[in-house]
Amino acid sequence: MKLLLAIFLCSFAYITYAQPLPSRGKAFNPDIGVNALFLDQESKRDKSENGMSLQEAELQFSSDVDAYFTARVLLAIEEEAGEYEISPEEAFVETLQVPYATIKIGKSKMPMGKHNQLHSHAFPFINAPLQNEAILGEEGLSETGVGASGLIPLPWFSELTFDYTQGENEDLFNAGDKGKKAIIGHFKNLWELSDAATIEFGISGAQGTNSDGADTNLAGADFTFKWRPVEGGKYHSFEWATEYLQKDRKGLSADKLSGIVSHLKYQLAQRWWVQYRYDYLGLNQSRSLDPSKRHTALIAFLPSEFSALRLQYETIDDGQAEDERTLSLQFNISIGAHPAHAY
Amino acid sequence: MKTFKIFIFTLCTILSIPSYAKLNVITTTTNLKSLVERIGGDQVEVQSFCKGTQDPHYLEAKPSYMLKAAKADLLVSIGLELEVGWLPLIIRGSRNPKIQEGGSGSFVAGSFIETLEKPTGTISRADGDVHPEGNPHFLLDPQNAVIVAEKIKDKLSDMDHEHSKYFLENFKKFSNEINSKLEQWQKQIGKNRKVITYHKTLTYFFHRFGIKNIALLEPKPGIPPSAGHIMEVMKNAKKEGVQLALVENYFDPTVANRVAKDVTGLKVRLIPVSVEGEKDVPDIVQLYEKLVSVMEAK
Repeated sequence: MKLLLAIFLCSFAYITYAQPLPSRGKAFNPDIGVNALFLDQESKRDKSENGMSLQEAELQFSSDVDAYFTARVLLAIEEEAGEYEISPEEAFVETLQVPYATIKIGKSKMPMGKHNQLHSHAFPFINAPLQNEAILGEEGLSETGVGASGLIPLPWFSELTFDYTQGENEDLFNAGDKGKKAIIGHFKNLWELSDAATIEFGISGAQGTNSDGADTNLAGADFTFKWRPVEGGKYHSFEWATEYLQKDRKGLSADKLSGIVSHLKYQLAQRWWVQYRYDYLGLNQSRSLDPSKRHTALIAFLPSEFSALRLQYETIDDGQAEDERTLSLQFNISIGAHPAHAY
Repeated sequence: MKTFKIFIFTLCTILSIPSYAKLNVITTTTNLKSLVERIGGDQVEVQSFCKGTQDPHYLEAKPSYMLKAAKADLLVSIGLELEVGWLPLIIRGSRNPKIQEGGSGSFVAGSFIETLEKPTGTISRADGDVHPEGNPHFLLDPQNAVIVAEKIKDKLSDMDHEHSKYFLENFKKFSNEINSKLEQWQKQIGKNRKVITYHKTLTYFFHRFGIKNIALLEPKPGIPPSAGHIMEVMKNAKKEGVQLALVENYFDPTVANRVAKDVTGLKVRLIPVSVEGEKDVPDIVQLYEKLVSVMEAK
């Protein structure tokens, strides 16, 4: 009898246990998305990165925290010296209820120019501009701190962003004294020329203390023209963007470097794009290095908004005997929830 | 310090003065704009993000829209994930807590509608651009427009008590106009009309007037037509004797024209599916009239 009762109870327990969770239970899970970038690359001079690779995988989680905050975490998985590493590219919280302003707390990509704020899967070309890699570092300028941004009451779109951060970028900031912080600011303006075209003009600046205990100053400017016709806008569009970036590192290992990059993007058909980019790195350079000039051409086929196949060819003239030439093919996918892309 | 106090005091006073100006309403689509204009009349100022010739699925989140949203008292959207690719960015960028979803200035029309084509079971992106909560083009059914108009009337009355009677009158006028025309429209369209469309935009219109959508030029929502699929469409069109192919005017009609070459008697019409999608459709009732006239058996 006892045995029967035990079996009965057990089976009952089993049944209750096996009941699926009410589907509402999932409603509060964060939105999860994954981006993966697969790359096949062939370089003539530097052959170390030739061949097929998982360029990067990004895991994104985003959700409202409560009625007051929304949060986003982006983890990047990348190969670093033969081993895969997972690192927080961004992890931040933003306010929802503060009128006129957004307060941001955490680690995020700094508004030092336009390109620096993009995730790798949203880069207009397979690799970053030369100046971004040389000045802001391979991972770009991403800092931990507190930021505030707001719209300035002007007749056009005008936004001011200000970040007060720890300043951990190895080359630029990274002061021994933890009391020394780095500040980054961005002033963005956008005008609608017509329903189809906009121009954007922004300036950015940053200041912090470097490992020599001296100042590092950054300055940048960006200009973007975008066109997408109101009729037939699904099939054609055009973009021209130019960015200038300069660094002035003072102290023992003083270093001055600046560059300019400009690209054109034209949408030929619903799923086809052709693009061209010119980089010039080494304007008002303090070291006796030759400037680098790069031409990049790219053709992209986007089967849908969630996948893209891109073929890129670039030549770099950096003063060496032989120019670098690289051909790359990238396949880029996005699964799960994907937060809307900025304009 | 004293001047600072005076400054703060003046600032607070200015900010706390209630504005007696017209309600500033932003809508995501021109169809919603037209409805708000019908109900709000001269007591509201309405603007739409999406133009009548733009596909509301793929609008870009221009910062200039954030500026408009920052000044809005009310944001009227379709919902059902139609605007998911751009509206969240605009709302966030506006720094206007009122228009956040659930805020006092947020109105999501889709939440009042019994949607069609709501997928059952699991869904996947392999099915194309599917909307988990159902087809979002519900305003093309005139009766859904009446349902939404009534809720807009309630919302505007909540926000502007003084004119609630005026909003009610406008709503009654609109609802009477639609109801009196429905029968006439059905007669004009007739029975057993068969059509081909590009995207599933007109589902609700067809559902209301008993029109059969024999085939879609898109193999799956959001996926451009493939050669194999077009052959299939031609076969179906011939078998069913379809005489009309409709292409929403934000899509390219090339493919439809190719189908028409092979299917005798098939006419291709480029149609507006939003208010202001063509010059002669400045209003939602005129949009219905236009669609009915296209559908009319001649």
